[in-house]
Amino acid sequence: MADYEIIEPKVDLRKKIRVLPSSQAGFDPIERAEQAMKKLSVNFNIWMNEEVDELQDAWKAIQKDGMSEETLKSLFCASHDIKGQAQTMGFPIAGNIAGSLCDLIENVTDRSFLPKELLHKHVQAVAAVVKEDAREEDNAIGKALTQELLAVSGEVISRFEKNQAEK
Amino acid sequence: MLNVDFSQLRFLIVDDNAHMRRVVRTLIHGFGAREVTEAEDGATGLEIFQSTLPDVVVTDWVMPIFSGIELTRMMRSETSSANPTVPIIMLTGHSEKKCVTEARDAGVTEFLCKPISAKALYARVANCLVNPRPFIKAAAFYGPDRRRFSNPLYKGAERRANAPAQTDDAEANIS
Repeated sequence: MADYEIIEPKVDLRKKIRVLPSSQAGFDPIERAEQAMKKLSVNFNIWMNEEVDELQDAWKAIQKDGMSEETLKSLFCASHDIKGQAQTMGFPIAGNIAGSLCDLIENVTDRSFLPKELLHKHVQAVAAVVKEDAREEDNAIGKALTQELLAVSGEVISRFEKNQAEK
Repeated sequence: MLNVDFSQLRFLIVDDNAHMRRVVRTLIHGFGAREVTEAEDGATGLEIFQSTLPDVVVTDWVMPIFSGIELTRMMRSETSSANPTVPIIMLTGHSEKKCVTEARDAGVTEFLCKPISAKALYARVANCLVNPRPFIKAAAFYGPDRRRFSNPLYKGAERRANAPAQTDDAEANIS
């Protein structure tokens, strides 16, 4: 008796698609999608500012109600959204800073080890980068800010992990 | 890369972020698909999935109510899902190996890390459609075969101890 079964997919989607010759003039799906994205990109500045508003609202909730699992989850979700979208929307530095904020919240699971001021610095940095329209990945100030935040966050995470290992 | 006509396919995008949904929808329309439905959380996504039977699902990981992983498990449920073999593309900012493994073990067909690009998304969708993998049904797993290729140099023990049994569907396809 076999301990597993091999099943063919219920719907054979190959019957619903057509593979076209690559030479077929006027049909380049990737090029067409990229063109559509280019048109969409006129919205990206506004969208990034909306994402920053969400992040700042989440921070305000922490200031008002303290660092609870609920308020930190909101901050994590807002920064996670920025981390995922910033590069696509032309703000790679903001994405890297948001990624560092996500790492802090995700890795430092004992909240008493989480420096509130460092979280705030991340929020401020993301907001400043977007406000200043610092889009280039090699923007000197943005790059230095990111490196500093990543280094300090890395130290906090390492300290926390060391502490956990010693327990 | 292959040029594939997606115009007859129905897509479902599940993502709590409206901007990201718009980006993914724009790309999929750009690929030539006409029918794209959206859901802003896992519960709504499951409801739409059950009622509209999309051909391909693109889902985020971190979402309210239930996550992309939980949604995947529900869509892969042989007893309750409207189509447990639907291709599922997980789009996420989680790029760590443990996340890729968790997604694979939940039954995700393709994994795509953000930032998203037209080329990467197209490649994942086309691969699901042109090279569909058989599904494995085991006690602790239901999803696309996790072995993408067989390694002739592998010298370890065979973990699939017994010979495979094939369903009638599979036999019909072979004949």
